[in-house]
Amino acid sequence: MAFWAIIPMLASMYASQKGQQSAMASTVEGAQTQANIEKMSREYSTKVFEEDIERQKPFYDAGVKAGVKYDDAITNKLDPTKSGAYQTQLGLISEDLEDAPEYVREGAIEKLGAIEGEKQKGRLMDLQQIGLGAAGSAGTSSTNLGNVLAQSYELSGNVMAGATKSVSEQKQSMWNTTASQLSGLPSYFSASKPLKTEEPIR
Amino acid sequence: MGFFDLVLDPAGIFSGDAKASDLMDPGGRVIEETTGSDIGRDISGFPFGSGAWDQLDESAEEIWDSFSGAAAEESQAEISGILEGSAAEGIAAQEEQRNRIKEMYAPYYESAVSEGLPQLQAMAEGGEVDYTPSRLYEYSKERGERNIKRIQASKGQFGSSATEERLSDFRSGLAEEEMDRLYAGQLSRTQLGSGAADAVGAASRSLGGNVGALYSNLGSGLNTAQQGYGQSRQSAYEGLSGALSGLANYMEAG
Repeated sequence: MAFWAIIPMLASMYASQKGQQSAMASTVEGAQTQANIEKMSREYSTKVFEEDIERQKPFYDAGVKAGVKYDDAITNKLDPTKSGAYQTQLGLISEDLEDAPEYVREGAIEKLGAIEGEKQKGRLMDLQQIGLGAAGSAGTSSTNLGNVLAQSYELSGNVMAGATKSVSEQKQSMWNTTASQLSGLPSYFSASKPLKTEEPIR
Repeated sequence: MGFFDLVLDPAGIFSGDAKASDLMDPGGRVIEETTGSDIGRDISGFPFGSGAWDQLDESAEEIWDSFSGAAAEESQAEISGILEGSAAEGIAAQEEQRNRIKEMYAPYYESAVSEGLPQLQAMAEGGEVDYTPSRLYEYSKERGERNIKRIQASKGQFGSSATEERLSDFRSGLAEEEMDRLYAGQLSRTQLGSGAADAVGAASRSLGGNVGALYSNLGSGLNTAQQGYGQSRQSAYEGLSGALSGLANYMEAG
């Protein structure tokens, strides 16, 4: 009878191991779930950031393009007669200039170009400042995203590291328990030997 | 049929139709029903009545669910469902607010991006300017030209080159003012749109932070629920292990 007690004892060991394994699996799954959720959070934050960049892009691009022309404008290498403002003003006065003496016509056009040359510099600077404002806003979004990602990655790392440590400890505990239970098995074998009976007292 | 019904009472002698929660007299007659059982039906002469077996059956099922983890799994699924549902609602609320803010600022933004900014670029760099002379310009031009001609005529210089010069200077100045007004208007429109973009960005960052917090809480909550489930399963297995160990000790002693 004692020998057959090994069977429920082994079943007990198995059940104990199963319990530990169940706990370990849940530790890993839970940490993985949290890490996956953090990944979703990072994706969402990145999406919001990219939307903001797209929103600022037209202003930023206009500023950069104006900046390239501004370099020529301030060194008076840019032809102001190509600007839309100059062409529009010329359109307003040209009809009346047709009947004017030539020197009056030439004088008016020259004056128009000179004034537009200076005003164009101011207009290009305005565009650059709009672009700079867009860059500033995008920079704020970028900084915010960087902070959010750093925190999220740190949290994910801590969760996974904590789970790994916990699983390691649980494994150690499981094997310690198993070893302890195995060490008790020989007693079932020794208990199965028939006992010496005492001789009746005569 | 439940666990005990199958094992101990397959013929259904004791189970009857009464519910475990039904109140019965010692003869097994139901004197107060819960749901579905017949009032006054004489179920059996067994002194405990059929309700006792149902009670045992329910308890056995609960014990089995505890060992097999079914109860813990159901609880974990329920907790996870609550957490996920709550987070989903919270995130949806943040997105709704974000969309509402985008819609509010959309007209200013669209006006700037599709009209204001391209016109500024055309005026400053080159391109077609969308323009029709204003009424102020037309009025000022007419009045101004008339005044100059009148003055010049009073001097006897009507039709002279001096008159043409004065008219030319006046018209150039007026055109310049008109262009400044046009440029100022387009610049203001563009700056409104730029401000709208900044406002939407600021709101998105703030609401996005709320969503991040919702995700973090959800992840932490699901992790905790999962670990709780694992601990419940472990506890159930440890209980079974203990019972088997006790049986082994009994057999060893016997």
